[in-house]
Amino acid sequence: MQQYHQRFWALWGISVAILVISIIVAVAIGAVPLPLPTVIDIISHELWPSLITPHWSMADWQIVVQFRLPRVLLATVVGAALAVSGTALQAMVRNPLADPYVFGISSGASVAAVAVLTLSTSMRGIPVSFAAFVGALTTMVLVYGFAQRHGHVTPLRLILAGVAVGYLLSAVTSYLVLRASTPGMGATAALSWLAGSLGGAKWEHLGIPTMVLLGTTGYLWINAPVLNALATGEETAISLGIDLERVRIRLFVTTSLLVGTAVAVSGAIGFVGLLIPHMVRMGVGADHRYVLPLTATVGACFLVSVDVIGRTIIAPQELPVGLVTAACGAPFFLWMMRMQQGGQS
Amino acid sequence: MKLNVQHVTVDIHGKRILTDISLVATPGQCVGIIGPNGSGKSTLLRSIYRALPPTTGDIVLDEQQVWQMSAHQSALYTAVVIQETPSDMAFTVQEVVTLGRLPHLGRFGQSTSHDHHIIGDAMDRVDVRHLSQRLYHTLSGGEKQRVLVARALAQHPQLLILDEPTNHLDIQHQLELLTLIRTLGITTLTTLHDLNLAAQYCDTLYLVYQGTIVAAGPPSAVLSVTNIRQYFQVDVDIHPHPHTGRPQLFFSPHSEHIS
Repeated sequence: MQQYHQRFWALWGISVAILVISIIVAVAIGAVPLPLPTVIDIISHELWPSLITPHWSMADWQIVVQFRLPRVLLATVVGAALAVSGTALQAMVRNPLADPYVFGISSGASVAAVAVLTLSTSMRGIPVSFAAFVGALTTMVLVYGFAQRHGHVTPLRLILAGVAVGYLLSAVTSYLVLRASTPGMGATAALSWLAGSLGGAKWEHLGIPTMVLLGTTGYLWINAPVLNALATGEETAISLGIDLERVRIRLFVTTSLLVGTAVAVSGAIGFVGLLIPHMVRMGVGADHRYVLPLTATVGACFLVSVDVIGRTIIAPQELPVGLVTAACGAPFFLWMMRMQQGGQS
Repeated sequence: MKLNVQHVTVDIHGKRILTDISLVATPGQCVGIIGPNGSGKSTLLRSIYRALPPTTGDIVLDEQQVWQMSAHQSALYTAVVIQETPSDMAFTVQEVVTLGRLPHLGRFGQSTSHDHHIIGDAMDRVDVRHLSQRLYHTLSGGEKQRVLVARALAQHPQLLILDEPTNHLDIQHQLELLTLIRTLGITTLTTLHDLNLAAQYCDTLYLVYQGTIVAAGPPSAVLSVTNIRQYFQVDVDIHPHPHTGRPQLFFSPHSEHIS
């Protein structure tokens, strides 16, 4: 642990530094490239106005502060949220393949969002993000309900219920998209939502997700020893004084809130919740006191970078961020898996 | 700490697993539970460490009912050594032993230097400190078992429960582990498949057969030719151990099964 302890602080420091650099670079990159010093000056001025006297054009300021910075910060928050929720879910069900998708949460958010985007105009008044949030939470309640028997929930039943509900909801989503395929019915909007997007981010979209992220991650971090015990095994957790049912519900609600918020503001972005916790565990082991803070920063770095790729690779068009996470994440994940097996055998 | 199990009956999904079990472990005693496979030994342990509520009956630690305590309170008294199916999470030995401090941690999960001292001490007692940075799932069976005992010790229990602690261990490690447990001075309740080990290391044995206790007492009384023949379906010759004088069992397959 001593070794992991030192390694954690080193890695965490590095990841925070990389995150700050990624944010600045991501803000500089775009249709109108901006010099890095200008970006740094503008951001510093925003943080502490007396520090620097403005020497930039109004247009540059607008690009940085009004367009790019909110988007990059949203990527930071969403990346951290997805990675942290993946970590918690994996510990809860002792399964390294668990992520928000396995539990049907993302599918639930998608159904609700697509319904609002494609169904009768009467529903268009409902904000998509609100619908997605409600959809995610409703699905989690459903999945938990189905997984329950005689007041007991086992990890396996939780996964099975999540996968089944997820498939069902995906089918409904597909039906809604097909149904809306005549022009003007919203199929395009629905598809682009499903592929995940951070475009159109505004400062006012950042407040709630940031608070939810900080609150839930803090709660999970306080409960890191409990997550460790759960990851070790159910009977062990009980013998260490954990009230299994109560703790599971609390953690499930916490992660639902986090996932629901992330999905609501960004659409269904896969792979972050699965990939990042794995990478982090390879670096600092399984202790959640180290894994949780590091997944947050690494997840944020990952999504910020992926979003830059998504909006530059086929510029002036944008590749949906969900597609890029899958396209970058899947090969990387497979490579890592093979590396790890090689190392163990 | 005194464990008193009184008339415990356990049903799982409407099926009766244990019927009217009564058992006592006095402070410092090592009590063994023996019986053929599927007789309900592990179920009995689970109801004592609060993993499975009894349908009727009482489980009392000193004066307190276990099932009226919270899970947390119970964990302050009782520690458990069980081999669970390993997860893919790569915990180090030190992290596994640290889990034993969980019931004693502060409100925000913070551990103190006092905790670190106890963790180091627990690792010393079972001689695993040199493994502290190793990954738990890469250890041998004997090392794993010792690490789990260290975790249980870090919990500072007054009752130690073990489920088949000698499984997968070679003979040297079997004897070392049981000797270690005897030297702890903690009230201990363990299931054991190996009747000779049970005879050597336990003060009292309870023989469980089809969910009921059919014999109880010192090893010399419980491990009789008739009991072994009737409940384990094997013939046995019993002689005193040349050094300890405890019963030593020499098995032969049941004659009825051979012919």
